[in-house]
Amino acid sequence: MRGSGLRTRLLVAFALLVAVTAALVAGGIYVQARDVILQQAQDAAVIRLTERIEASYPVAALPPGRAAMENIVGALSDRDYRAVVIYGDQQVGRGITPSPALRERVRSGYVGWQRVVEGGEPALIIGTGLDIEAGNTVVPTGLEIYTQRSLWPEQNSIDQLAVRAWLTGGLSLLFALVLAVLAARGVLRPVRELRQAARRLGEGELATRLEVRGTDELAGVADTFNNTATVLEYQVNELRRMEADARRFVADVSHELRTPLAAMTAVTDILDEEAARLPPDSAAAVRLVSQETHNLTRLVNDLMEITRFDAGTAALAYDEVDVAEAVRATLRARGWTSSVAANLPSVIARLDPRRLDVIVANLVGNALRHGAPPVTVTLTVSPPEWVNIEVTDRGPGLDLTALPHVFDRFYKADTARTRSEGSGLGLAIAWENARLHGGMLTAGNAEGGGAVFTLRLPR
Amino acid sequence: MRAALLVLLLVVAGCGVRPSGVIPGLRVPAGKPEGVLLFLLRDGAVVPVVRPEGPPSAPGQPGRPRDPSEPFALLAAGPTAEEQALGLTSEVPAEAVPTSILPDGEDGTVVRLPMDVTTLSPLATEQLACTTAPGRPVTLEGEGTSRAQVFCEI
Repeated sequence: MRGSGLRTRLLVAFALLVAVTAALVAGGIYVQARDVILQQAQDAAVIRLTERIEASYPVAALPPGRAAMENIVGALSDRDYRAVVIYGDQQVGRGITPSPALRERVRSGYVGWQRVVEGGEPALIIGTGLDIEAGNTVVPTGLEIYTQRSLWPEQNSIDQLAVRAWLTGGLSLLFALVLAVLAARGVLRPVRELRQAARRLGEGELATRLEVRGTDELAGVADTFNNTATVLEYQVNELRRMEADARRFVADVSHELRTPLAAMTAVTDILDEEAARLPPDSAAAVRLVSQETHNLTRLVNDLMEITRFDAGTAALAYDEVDVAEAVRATLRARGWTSSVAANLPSVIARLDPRRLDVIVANLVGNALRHGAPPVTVTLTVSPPEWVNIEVTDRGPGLDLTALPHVFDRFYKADTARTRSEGSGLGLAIAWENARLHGGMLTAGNAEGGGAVFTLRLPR
Repeated sequence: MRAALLVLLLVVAGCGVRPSGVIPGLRVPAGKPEGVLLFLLRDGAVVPVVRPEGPPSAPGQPGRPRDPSEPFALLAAGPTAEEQALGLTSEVPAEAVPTSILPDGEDGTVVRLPMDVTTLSPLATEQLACTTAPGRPVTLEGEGTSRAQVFCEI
């Protein structure tokens, strides 16, 4: 699009330049050549006339008899020329009609000529008089002599000139257009390459580089592009490396925490059993420590799960399951069967049942904790490969500002609730599990109020 | 393509040889009269007339030397029959044959006629002046009368 605009501009500019130049040059030369051709023809005719008149000197008799006039006409006529001699009322010779202006000039004592067009044919009429030398002055005889020749040959020469001029102009125009196309291509190709390279760079191919040809401005742009891409590639690789290092650190930390936590859990379990025999304050303290230790353990386990997702080491254990039966098992295991309305037609799908359990448990648990009853779980099938599980509640629904961040790690929608039961990673883990299957988890608000979480998994 | 070329040619033809106004040249050529030069009248204007000379007096010799009074004698004799047929007339009387023609001053001439020059008509005066010396002042004298500074206006 932009390329054809540039090429068209170049073509138009070249074409206009050549057309105007050729027209001016050819036009100028044509006009001058035409004038030269005509001038030569006219001069030759005038010289011929005056020479032949001078050859008929001296003036033998005046008034000239008819015979003398016919002699003059004979001397002046040939294949190309007609001649007419006029004396007073007498005229010898036919076929020439000099204009009044020409006769006036001849009678005033000067040679004159005029181009006329008779019946479509261009012609040249030359007129002269004849004077007599008397003393040291001249006296007009009253004779008028006219000759005429056709200018067809000159017309043809001029026409040929014009045709040649047009042809030359046309060829020059063609040549200029070819040059313009070549010039355009020379400019457009690097521009197109730059555009493609920029697009590839934008799509993430950071190793894209341009070939630098020549030393002009376009080569300079290509060089700058290469330098920029190199720096960008380096920076992005650095960032990725730092991110990978950070994740590895989290994984290492979580792993290291497991051992002391295991020891602490063992101790707090024992303390829990003894809690009934302790005084009330101590019992409360023991139960608190026990609870927090369990929370910490769950957090560390969740962190390890997340790091496995990030490192790409999370594996799917596929199994052919009846999704409805799996969901019911999940609800039963946590004692939610009576609190949740389930609409579960039997659907067979191939997925990881443990991970499905984790997702469903998290969604239903969130609905029961943060939403309000009735909580419903609906299982549907949409165009043949997708299984949908929809968990809805009739609670306050999701805040619109929180909606884009609801699956972020450690994101708590209500900042007043700093100490909830969850680790803050539940939805993030559910989202990763869905993604691992090749499906997706989405959140929204139902039309009648309340939140809707939709899990889509491929069968 | 051929039609376009034809149209181009027509357009071009319009730019070809165009009619012009009268283009002036030099003065018309002038030649010596081979004979006697005198001036008669046609339609009230003075026109030159050349009477051819006779054959030379002897073969091989150039023509006899000019007799300065010969034009005036021919002028006084009037136009010939052919000249009359062409409409030429003269108002110079038959007796106007000069008795003497003498230079006067730098470029003037005095012509003495045996008659009363004031009786000559303006056209006759001009005929005589032209026959004497075109373009130069001529004085006609005769029988106590004179007309000075007469010019031939051709």
